[in-house]
Amino acid sequence: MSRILSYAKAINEALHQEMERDDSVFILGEDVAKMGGDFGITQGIWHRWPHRAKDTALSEQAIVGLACGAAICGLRPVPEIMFADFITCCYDQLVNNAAKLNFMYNGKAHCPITVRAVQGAGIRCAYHHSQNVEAWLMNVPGLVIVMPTTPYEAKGLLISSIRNNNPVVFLEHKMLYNTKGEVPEEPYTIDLYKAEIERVGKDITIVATQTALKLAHEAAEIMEKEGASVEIIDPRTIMPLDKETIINSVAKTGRLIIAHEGPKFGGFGAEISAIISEHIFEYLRAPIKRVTSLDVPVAFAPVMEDYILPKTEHLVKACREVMEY
Amino acid sequence: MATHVKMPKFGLSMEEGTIAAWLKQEGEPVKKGEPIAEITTEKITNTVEAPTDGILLKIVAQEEETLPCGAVLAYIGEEGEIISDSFESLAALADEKIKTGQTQPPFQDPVLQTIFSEQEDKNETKPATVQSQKRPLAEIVITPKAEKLAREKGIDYNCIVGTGIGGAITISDIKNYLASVGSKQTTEQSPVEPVRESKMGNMRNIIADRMLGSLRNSAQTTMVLDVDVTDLTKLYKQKREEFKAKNVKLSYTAILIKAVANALSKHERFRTVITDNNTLLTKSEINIGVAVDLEDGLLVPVLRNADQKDLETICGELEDLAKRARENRLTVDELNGGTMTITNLGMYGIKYFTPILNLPESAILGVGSITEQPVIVAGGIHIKSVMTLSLTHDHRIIDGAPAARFLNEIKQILQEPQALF
Amino acid sequence: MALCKERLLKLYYDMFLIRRFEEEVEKYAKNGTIPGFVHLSIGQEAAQAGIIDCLRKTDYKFPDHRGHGAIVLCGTDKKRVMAEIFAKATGINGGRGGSMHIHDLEVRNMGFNGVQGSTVVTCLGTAFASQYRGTDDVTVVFMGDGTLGEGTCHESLNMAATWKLPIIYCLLNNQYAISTHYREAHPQQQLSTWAKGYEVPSETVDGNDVEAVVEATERAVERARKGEGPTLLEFMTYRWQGHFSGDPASYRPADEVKEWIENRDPIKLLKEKLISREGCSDDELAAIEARANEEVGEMVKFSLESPDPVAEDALKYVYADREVEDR
Repeated sequence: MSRILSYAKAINEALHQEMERDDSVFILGEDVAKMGGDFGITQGIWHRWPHRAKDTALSEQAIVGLACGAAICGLRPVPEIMFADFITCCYDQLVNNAAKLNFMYNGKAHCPITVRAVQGAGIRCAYHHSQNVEAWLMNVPGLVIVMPTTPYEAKGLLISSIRNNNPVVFLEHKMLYNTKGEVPEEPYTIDLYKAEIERVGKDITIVATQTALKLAHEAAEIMEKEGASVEIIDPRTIMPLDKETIINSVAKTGRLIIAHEGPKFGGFGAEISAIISEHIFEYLRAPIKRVTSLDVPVAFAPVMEDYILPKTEHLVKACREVMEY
Repeated sequence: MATHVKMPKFGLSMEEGTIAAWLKQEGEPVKKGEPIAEITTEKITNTVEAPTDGILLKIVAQEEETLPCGAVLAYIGEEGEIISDSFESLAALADEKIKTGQTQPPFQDPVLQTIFSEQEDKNETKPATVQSQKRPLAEIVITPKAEKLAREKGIDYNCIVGTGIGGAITISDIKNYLASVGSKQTTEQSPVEPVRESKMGNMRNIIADRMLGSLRNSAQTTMVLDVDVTDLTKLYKQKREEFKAKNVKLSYTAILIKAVANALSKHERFRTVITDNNTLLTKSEINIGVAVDLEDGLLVPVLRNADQKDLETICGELEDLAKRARENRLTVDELNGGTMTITNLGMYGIKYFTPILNLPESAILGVGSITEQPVIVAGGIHIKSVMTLSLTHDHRIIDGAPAARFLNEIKQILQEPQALF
Repeated sequence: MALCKERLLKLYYDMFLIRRFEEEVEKYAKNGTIPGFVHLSIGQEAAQAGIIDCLRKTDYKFPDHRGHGAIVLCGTDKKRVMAEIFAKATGINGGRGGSMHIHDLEVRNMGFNGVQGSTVVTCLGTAFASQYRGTDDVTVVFMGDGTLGEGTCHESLNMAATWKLPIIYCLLNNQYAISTHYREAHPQQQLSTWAKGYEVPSETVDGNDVEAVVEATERAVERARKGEGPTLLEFMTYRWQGHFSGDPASYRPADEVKEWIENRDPIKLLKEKLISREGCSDDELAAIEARANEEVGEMVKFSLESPDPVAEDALKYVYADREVEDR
């Protein structure tokens, strides 16, 4: 049975259902318990299980460190980092501890933590509350990085992340919290390591994450009228990546554009571009393009923030360029 | 993901083939390169080879079925793989699973998941309609760079089996093909063998088919006529320097093209071809094919609308076509659409010969060498430059008399050469 | 300790000004003119005004996210502070930073970094620089009860104490981080006792009594200038609004909020003192209030009438001495 839920509510539901199912799951973080989270995502959990929802001091390093230690002992912590920008405060625990625990213990103990962090720009909160952090974590083998876009994905991928035995960084985008979509009532999983083809096309492949997917759909509609059919792929999990789906799609279309928020240099798009040119260079009909934010800190003033972020018109321009190449 | 097995194209003129027999059954493992079916066409029987290792998952073309080149005959893949070429086949698969109780929860069952995702409700976060029609696999015939390479090498790639993603033809497939078709002869002396075996190259095969086909499928016969080209040769020498100054190479072939084009404009029957069911098709376009000799074969590039071009233009175009023919840089279009063909063996001292029709054309003109000959004119012996023309025509639709008239028309034109320049 | 009347009147002006400043900011934040979120310091005027009043222009000041008041009183052009919050081109940082990122190095307002605990270690640097250069400028860092959770605070106090850096840690304990009461996050009853572990002198002060604030701060500043090392001052205070404008703050008991607003309003307390102890008339104080209102009114007008920044200015200052590319 499906019904319409918001992205925020879908995550909340996933947490409730997993905590019902498995009593090794617990949540911790700043304001997650009594207040139900700064964004309201963990509402209701503390009321049902007061000893399984812990409000902490402002101690990100301690939060993630504790999570790692508990995970080794067989618990399944779901810590929250209030703004993904603060992941820098627990970066050591993520990179040098969580990511390498399985390796360190020869697989005898795992690190099944799911670190929920809230990222993304658009709320006019300047450069310490608006960053996209996936690129900071991509170069760290051992981490799983998940980026849900729709409410359906948010619930299914979170459930899968919690059940997964690897350290998952679950990046929620704050501008997607209020978007709505069909979400089944019952718990369900979504295969973590599989990309989703959201739209089938034959002339251009656009790989996009989170807020950039909306731009991709808009661009596709415009390009359809201009006679070019666009295929859109949402990678869902960006590490480990479902390369095959993307490779097969670009082999078919011969044209690839990657669209994502966050700076271009060293971003997610750079990695996809390298993978494609490595594997299927001869199938390409045009250079690979990336449509991203500017390589600058996210400024506060709305007119500046909007200038920094990628827009549909940038993506349409890129589509036209690859078609005309 | 499953690979297509397609109906191959065994020759330029092959358009369809018939499955004579399947050599492998559904479910059997096959190896790359192994023959898996026998195909017959009008002229030959040949085999289809498996493009990749795997299990022959599904046969879609039955024995005795005739299909066009490029049509899908079967799928090869891994055991249990889903061939999701069409929504209908998916749905059928799903039905079967449900019937036999094989289903898993909807979002874990790969077949049902594919169906659900195709039917997924449109909601605010998915503004675009997911097309619920056929969802093809990676379906390209040839990669862009391989296509470019094929064009450069003048290869018709439809007969090459692709080993790329989804059966696409790749650069390495082209390279392998080129290597097998024949590298240049080595200049070393190889030891003399009593009998040497070698494979006929692609072009040779095609020429063999076509020549034999032409002789079998028409009622062709040849007539010859001498032409006094004394005035023509004088004019030629004059004009050659003029043309050279304009960087244009004047040639007799070009002159013949112009003459034949003129004649064709007045002789409709020579622009007419006969089709399979005895229908006549008359063309108004006058496109002249010119046989160009290559290392081990020949090509016939076509000079289009020769009747509308002046001699200078024809000379330029002819030179370019011949050059590109020798460099294998002709386009497919430039090898098609001829109204009539000219073949010139004059440079080899050949007097007359019986050229074979370039079907479906109804006539071909053979040009012999120009020699000084004693000719009796008004009782006296004069030395004249004489060129013999050999006209082969298809007697099914062009009888002797009209053919003779046409040939005489050309003679008249050549004997009054002023008008050509 | 009693301060002289003049000084108290000046402080009254300061406190009233920053209260009015925040009230205007709240109004414009609520109606959407100000983009994003603001963290209002209404209720914490005595602590902010009192501390800043003890400092020179050359002392290094690190305000926090709830520090509009302190920022305004640092010596910066006040209307440009408000313009920054309004995201205008005339703002101190050209609209680039907004409420949480207002710096003015000319008056050594070092600004705030959006990540809690960051300034607590950065302030080590400015204190070190004074020591290194042999000046007696001190460094003041504002932090909250919430900030104390960050490991950086512990690293900072450890290093400052060991090297005797001239830092005054001004911990404005308004008792709630966001929704977490400080006794749920820390084991101490009074946070100042935390400093004992580092053998750093510390005091708990009534943060809403501006005289007490000034007295304690001057003591700590004196120590620091003499090279005797850091001090931790815990100022007990309260924020009237929620964590950010729009936060209903239902995590606080209503009677607690009422108590602080009605009976422990720092401005009201000072006013009473001025009237009863210093013999000021209502008119005198009303005149001060009117002046403050006028000044705030001008700030608002300036902010509303200022132009928006140029979008392309977002590309500036990413690197020193080097430009970055546009799309």
